[in-house]
Amino acid sequence: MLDVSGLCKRYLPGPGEPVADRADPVAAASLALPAARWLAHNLHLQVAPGQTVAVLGASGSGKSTLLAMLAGLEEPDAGRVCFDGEDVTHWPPERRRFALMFQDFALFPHLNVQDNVAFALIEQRVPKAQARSQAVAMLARFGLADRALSGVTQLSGGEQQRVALARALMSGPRLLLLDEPFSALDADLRQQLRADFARHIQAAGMACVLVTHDEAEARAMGQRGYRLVGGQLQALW
Amino acid sequence: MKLLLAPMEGLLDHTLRDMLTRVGGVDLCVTEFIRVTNTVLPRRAFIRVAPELLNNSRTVAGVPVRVQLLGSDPICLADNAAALAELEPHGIDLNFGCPAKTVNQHRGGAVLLDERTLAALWNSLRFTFLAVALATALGLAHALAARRSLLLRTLVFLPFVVSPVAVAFGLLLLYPSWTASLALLVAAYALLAYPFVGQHVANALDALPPHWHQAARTLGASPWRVFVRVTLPLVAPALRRGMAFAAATALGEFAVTLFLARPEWTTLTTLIYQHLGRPGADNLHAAHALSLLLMLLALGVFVLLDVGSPSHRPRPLKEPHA
Repeated sequence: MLDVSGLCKRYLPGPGEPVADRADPVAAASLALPAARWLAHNLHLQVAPGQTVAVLGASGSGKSTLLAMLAGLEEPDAGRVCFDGEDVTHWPPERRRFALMFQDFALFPHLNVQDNVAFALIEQRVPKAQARSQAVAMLARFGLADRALSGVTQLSGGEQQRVALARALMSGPRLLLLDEPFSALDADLRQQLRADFARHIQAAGMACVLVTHDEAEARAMGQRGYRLVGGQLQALW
Repeated sequence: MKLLLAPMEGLLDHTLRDMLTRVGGVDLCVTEFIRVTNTVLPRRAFIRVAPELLNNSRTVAGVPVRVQLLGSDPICLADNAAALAELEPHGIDLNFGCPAKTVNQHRGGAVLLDERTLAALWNSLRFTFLAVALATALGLAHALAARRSLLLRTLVFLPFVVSPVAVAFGLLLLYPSWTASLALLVAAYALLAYPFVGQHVANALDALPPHWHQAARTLGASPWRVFVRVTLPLVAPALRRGMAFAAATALGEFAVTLFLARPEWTTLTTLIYQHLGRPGADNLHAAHALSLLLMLLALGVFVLLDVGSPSHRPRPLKEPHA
């Protein structure tokens, strides 16, 4: 059970950073420092195991920062992130066992498909041969067993996406964080993978936070939906 | 003023020595060379050339006589010198520099000078190896530290813009007690070579998307493990290229060696300089040969480090829509 309470994060733009409203030419041309914005402002969120929560928001609203704070890649200014009653706010990412999937998949180009998937197992000190056979078994569940020895650059976009999910699931995460997982794919593939992913996530029985700007995707995958506005979550369904 | 009677092969034997010292005015004699090959010579071989050994190493007139040895194997020379010493000569001369062609054909005399070339080659290689090892560590550390600091990033170029002579002279002024120490010499080499490593690695680090690092962290890898398993393999081609440039710089280093090395630490570059400073076509030819050797070495190091390695350069992933 993920329990986020009172999370705060302010974005302080540095000098020369183009954060001014691009639609407003006067503000865009202004040399004055833009004011700080709230990416998270007293934000609360609970996610139960087996539940997927979708967070919608415009770009720059703080969706990705929210996931980064949950994953431990960024420190919140205030507030707590708890999991199963434990306060993990200041834990490093590798200790949390929260898997994060990026919209560019972030597959390691120097490793082949099976070594990408086995990455987390090697970190858990599973012997290499055993880690690889487990990775191939996981790839088989995604219909990619025959691509185990391919380089990741040889895969299509949809295949890369499935390898990224297989890699995330292989680490045995307690929480899965998805950052715009399908935004780089075309519409047909997106719909097909959506159902595929929902099935795998449900089968794994873990809590999942999905961040997207696509409401249809959010409704298809999330049992609950929120919109992130001004650093706070407004319930949509 | 002392007058020494120099040896001359086939002419100045003990008969002539005896005659000339009886005339008077000579303070010391040296015998013709006794050639040493690969055995310890018997007592009679020494006495044949220097019968004065039986007379307390003096001519009949009482002038002391030194015995001269010639050979190409230092160990064998030492053994023969030890055997000769038992006959208590007034002194032993070692012939290292006879330039006569007939002498050199049998690896005597001047061929021993090749030992200097070998020593210079060995010095060049070991200084380069140590300097590249240090420059690699320094360059990697600098590149990692410079990711967040523009100032640090600019500082990497500082050794590029300062003359090596100024660097060497500055080090001499700063650390007078460390003069002619291997540590200071290698440090100076590394200082001049590490910007290549630092710059190449810094550029490669810039090209790495931050998501790779973050994905590895969420998959359970500590920062150190991410460095070993993801960052280092991905910047390895750039690291090797930087090391190749660093090695080429260290091999060709001249000014620092001239300032900071001991006289016996001749490298290939300073040996070329020494040859060029002496008269004669032989020295010029030696300098040519050494220059060629230096270039071939630099090329070899380059091929070994850069071209010979499989490229794991991070390539952009295929367009997802493709």
